[in-house]
Amino acid sequence: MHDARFVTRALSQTDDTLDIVHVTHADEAVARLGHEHFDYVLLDIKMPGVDGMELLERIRSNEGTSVVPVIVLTSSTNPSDVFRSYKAGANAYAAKPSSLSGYRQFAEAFVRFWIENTLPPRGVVLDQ
Amino acid sequence: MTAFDEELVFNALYETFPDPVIILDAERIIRSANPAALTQFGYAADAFIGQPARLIYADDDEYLRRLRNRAARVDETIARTSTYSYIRRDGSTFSGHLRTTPLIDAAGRELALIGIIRDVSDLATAVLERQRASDMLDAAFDVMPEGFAIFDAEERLLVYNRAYVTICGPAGPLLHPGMTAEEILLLAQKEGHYPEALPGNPDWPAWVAHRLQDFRQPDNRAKIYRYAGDRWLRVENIKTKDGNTVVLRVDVTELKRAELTLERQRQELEHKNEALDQFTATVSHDLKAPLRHISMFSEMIEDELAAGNQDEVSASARHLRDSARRMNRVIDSLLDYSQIAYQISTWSDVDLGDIVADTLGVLGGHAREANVAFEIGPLPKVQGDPELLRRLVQNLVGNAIKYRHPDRGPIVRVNGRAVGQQVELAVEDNGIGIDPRFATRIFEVFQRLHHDESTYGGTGIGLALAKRIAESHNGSIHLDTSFTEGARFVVTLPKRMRKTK
Repeated sequence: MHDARFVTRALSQTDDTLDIVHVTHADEAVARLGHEHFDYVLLDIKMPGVDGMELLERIRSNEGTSVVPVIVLTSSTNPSDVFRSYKAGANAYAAKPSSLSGYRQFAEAFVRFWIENTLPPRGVVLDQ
Repeated sequence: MTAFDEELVFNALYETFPDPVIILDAERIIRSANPAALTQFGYAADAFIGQPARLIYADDDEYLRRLRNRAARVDETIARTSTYSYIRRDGSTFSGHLRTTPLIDAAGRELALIGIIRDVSDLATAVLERQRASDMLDAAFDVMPEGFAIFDAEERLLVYNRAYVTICGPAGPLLHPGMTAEEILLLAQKEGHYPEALPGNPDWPAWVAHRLQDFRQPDNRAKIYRYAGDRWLRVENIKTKDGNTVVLRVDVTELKRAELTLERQRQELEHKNEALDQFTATVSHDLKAPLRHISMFSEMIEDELAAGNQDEVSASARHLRDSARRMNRVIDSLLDYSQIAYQISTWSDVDLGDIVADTLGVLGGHAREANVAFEIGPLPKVQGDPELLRRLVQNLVGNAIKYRHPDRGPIVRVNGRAVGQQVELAVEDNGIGIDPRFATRIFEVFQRLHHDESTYGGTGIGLALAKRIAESHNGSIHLDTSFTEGARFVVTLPKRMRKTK
């Protein structure tokens, strides 16, 4: 709950404008991903109820969301969690920062790498 | 060519024959004795001839034995059945192997008996010693706790000891030399002596074939099989140089049981270690999260003060306080949890009915507020720690009230029954229920299913605590996943305390 507040705040302080939807239940996440278009998913793997890892697998097995980039943001730095996340189809893994500046750096890096670099401009066909 | 004087030749033979020759008449009177006989017994001819045969036997018993043996026509060709103790004139004795030839007339009457007595004292001593050594080995062999038997090259039983008879179980009383190893194995197998090859098991022929293979071509490694119900047998087959097979059968039940106990304890420890790792990871996560939040909200307050956002400051301060409270609750829960021993040490009689009545008293205010209808059935008595059992019941009933359904009048039912040596306590409700997928996870520390702490508050220790209390009573707790009206928890407790090591 609090962490979502920190991430939202840090992302809102970057130069880019992002629409952020915060959901707290895996089932809710799956339902909304099924109906709406999202460019990215930020996911905490330590959640009450359904394990975040299970949600990640559900996102990957669903045709509509099988390639949406999923960035795992979680408090665990346990190597087995990192490994399991990538195995389940995560595109990036980051440990939750423990300071506001840490969150700002995360938000900055997220925007630079995922939004400004990765999305090809519309109408351009990349050569093989 | 000179004439062949037969009488002269036989006389010479008689006179020079190295073994004593004595001829008795039908009255058993010595009628003739050759020089070897006179020398052997130490008599002059006139003191010997004319005496009864009894003269040369060491005593009456020995003479009677000789008479009985003659009546029974024992085999005189072997020393074992026709050796007697004889006495010389000087009173010294010796063992002699007696062979006799009767002289019969045309009417079939016995005229005389020619006896040849060979001194076998040396041989008799050797045989006696060998017999003693053999008896000693046999005796030792028979009291050995290890089953021992020897089979010949044709797989026929030659010798076996008492322990072998016991170990063969139902085949034991039927054992006799000459039986084959396969016959013995099948006899015992047919009677259900080998749990891995019971007659109803379609795999028994393969099992028997495997055992026979090990008998025929032993690989010099001992094998361990189950036998005689729940016992264990160590089997070793050894081929000897002369083509025989020596088989050793040792009951290793105690050893095997100790080994199994050790293995079970090892697995238990491994399991406990994993649980401890999991516990540590969860606890550190749940302690670190509010700590991180405290640090961040204080940072945020600083930021907002610097930026002059007064209203944001008080919201951050409230979050900071919440985080500190949450951390406090987590630590309190942990203390609660860690204070319950793995095994309670004092057991007293506890009436579960009283415990439930107490609980309803404690939770009464809360329950009235929620308008809960309680349905309490008859409850049995158990042995345990009343204080811990009270907390167990409080947690379950508390949960039943807490997770009520917003659209239904809450009902909480508590029932108990005895099942064999155990007592079952069931707490069920008509609340929001629990997804069966989480049936085991809910009993781990700090596992919460609900994100929204304002509706369903708590640190997630309640059911972990309930599980630990049940286990400290040598009992268990589980979620009844077949119950769909709400949630149903079943606690199983032993009726009486079990002594554990």
